[in-house]
Amino acid sequence: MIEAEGITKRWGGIVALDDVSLHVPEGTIHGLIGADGAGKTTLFDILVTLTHADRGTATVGGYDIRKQWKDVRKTVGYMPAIFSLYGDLSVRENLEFFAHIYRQPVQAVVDLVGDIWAQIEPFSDRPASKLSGGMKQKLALCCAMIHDPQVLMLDEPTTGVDPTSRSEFWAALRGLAGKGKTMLVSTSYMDEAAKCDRITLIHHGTILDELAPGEVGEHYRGTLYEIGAADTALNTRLLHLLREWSLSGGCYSFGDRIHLGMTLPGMRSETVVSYLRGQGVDTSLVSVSAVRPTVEDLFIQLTSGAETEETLQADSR
Amino acid sequence: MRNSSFLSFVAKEWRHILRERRTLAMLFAMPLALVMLFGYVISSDIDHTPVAVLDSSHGDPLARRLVRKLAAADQFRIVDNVRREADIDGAFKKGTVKMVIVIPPDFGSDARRYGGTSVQLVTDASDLNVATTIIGYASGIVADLNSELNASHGLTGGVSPVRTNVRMMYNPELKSAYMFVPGVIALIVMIVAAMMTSVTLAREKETGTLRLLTVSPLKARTIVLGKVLPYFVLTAVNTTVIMLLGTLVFGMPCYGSLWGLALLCGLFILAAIGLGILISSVVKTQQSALTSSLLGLFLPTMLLSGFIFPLDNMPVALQWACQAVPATWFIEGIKGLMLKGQPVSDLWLPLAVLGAMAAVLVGLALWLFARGERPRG
Repeated sequence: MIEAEGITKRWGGIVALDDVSLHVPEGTIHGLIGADGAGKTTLFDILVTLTHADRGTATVGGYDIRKQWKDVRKTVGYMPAIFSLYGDLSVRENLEFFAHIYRQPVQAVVDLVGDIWAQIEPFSDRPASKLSGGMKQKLALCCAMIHDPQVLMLDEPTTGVDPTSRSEFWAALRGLAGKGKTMLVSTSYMDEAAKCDRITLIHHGTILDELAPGEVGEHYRGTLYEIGAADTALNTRLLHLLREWSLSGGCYSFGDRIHLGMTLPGMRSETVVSYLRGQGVDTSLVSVSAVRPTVEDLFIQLTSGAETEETLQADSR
Repeated sequence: MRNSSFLSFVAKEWRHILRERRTLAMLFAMPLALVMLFGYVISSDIDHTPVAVLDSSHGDPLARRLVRKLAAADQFRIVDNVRREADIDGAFKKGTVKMVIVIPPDFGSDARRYGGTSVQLVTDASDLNVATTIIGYASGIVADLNSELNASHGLTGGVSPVRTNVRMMYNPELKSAYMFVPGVIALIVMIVAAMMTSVTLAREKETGTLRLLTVSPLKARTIVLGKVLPYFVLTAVNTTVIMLLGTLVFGMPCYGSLWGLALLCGLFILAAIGLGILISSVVKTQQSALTSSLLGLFLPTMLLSGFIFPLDNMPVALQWACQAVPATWFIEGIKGLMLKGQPVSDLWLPLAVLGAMAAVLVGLALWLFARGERPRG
């Protein structure tokens, strides 16, 4: 449903997107995972035909974004990254306005996304600006769905939304995918990758990897160890020691634990324990175990950056 | 169906206008503030206005009769501080006198002779409204004296033994305080029509709703015209309120055709809205829309329209620039219609220029938005 090939876009001298390709089959949810400034919004602008790509081709719903942009717009339901409804209009007035400009009966939205609408309907007389973050996004989804689009492009729909509302939102998206809708969803929450059928990791305008969430282990090079100290005050020292270790393939704090990647073959958790003991750490207070890497670990490994670690919103806990 | 999306766009726009209470209150407080301004500038309180008599006839009975009549009127208070012609200027400058009645030598004997005589009414026309009003009263008193004289000689009308000769000092062009009003209307139209249109469109940009509208089936012209119509109506209502207050409460004259006036205002409002849309197409935020409107519209409207500085005194280059300011033509048209009572056909030039400006500006706005509807490079 969405096929993009070699999309490149420059803003002035800055490369916003460099040779980006995407393939999203019908009825699937594709996650676009990356930190702020990765180029996600630029890619959305190109795919919803607000902006031309400098190079590359794409079709959405079978329509060429360059030649058939009018058809693309009819096929796509778009939710921009910032809340883009009329704050001074009530929930119902917003919905009615979008229903009118898409020449659809308001009732259409109830048929399409009745379960989401049921959650915001009690607030239908409230000005949209006075809704909670989650409610705003549900209303925006209703407005984006009003013309029964085959493809939904949702740019960071869950940013600034509380965890409960986020999981409700994702449940709604899954329901829509079940009805055959194709979705491209960007997020900077790594844990949301698991809710997608496939994900693309994007960083500084380039694609790092493309995989199914279940394939993270195979895409991760080497083994990932999780190191936990009984007293978290020890973490700083452990991090320091592990970073100096020549065998370390990247080490960073992960919640109140430490994650250590070991890319050399033949390593075991005992190797880590003996190194730490050799450095004078009381290893009886430290646990080391091999764990399954998460999308975030993969992302950090691919950007090989402790430097990007802070910009990622690890919200999984 | 297209009609229905246009109407719902207009309905949405009305809701924005009606819900922004502060702005709406400002729009209606502005004409009120204006009324107070009028009231201050156009004071018509002329009871017991100090006037002096410079009598060179040395006690002629007819002259004394005239002075008695003047003194008897409530409007005047005779003061005695102008003895020579040289005193007139000083008295006006000190403001102790608003009018000097100059009675010539041989006043009585000339009046009785064929051809008659004349009194000179010298006024301080820097306050033109007061000046014209007191001249009106004084001429009335002289006319009264004439009919008394004629009656006593058995004559009826037609002959004026005493004529009046009016001399306005300090304001030879007779610039009236009313001349301010067209300029103020021009300013208000710029605020309501141009500034508000540009700010509301910039808000659609800033909040991202314009992106949603762009990808929607809504046509660019529906968006533009859906903005034009509500702000046109709002500005028209506002302009009408100001005009009504000016004419009904403060007696501003309106000699010319009302339809001509409506046409003139309509064209000017359209041109202003077109300017507002053009501004919004180049700026990105509401703040910069506001600043650009202030600098790009207000200052020219105030300074380059003849509102504050007369056009004739400007360097030629600036005079050319003034021709490009819509308010110049609007003010010229309003003065012609309301104050001078010119027929609409005499004002074809301002009307044609404003019409052309409105057409070009709105057309350009439509074209820019239609272009912006396509994917950008």
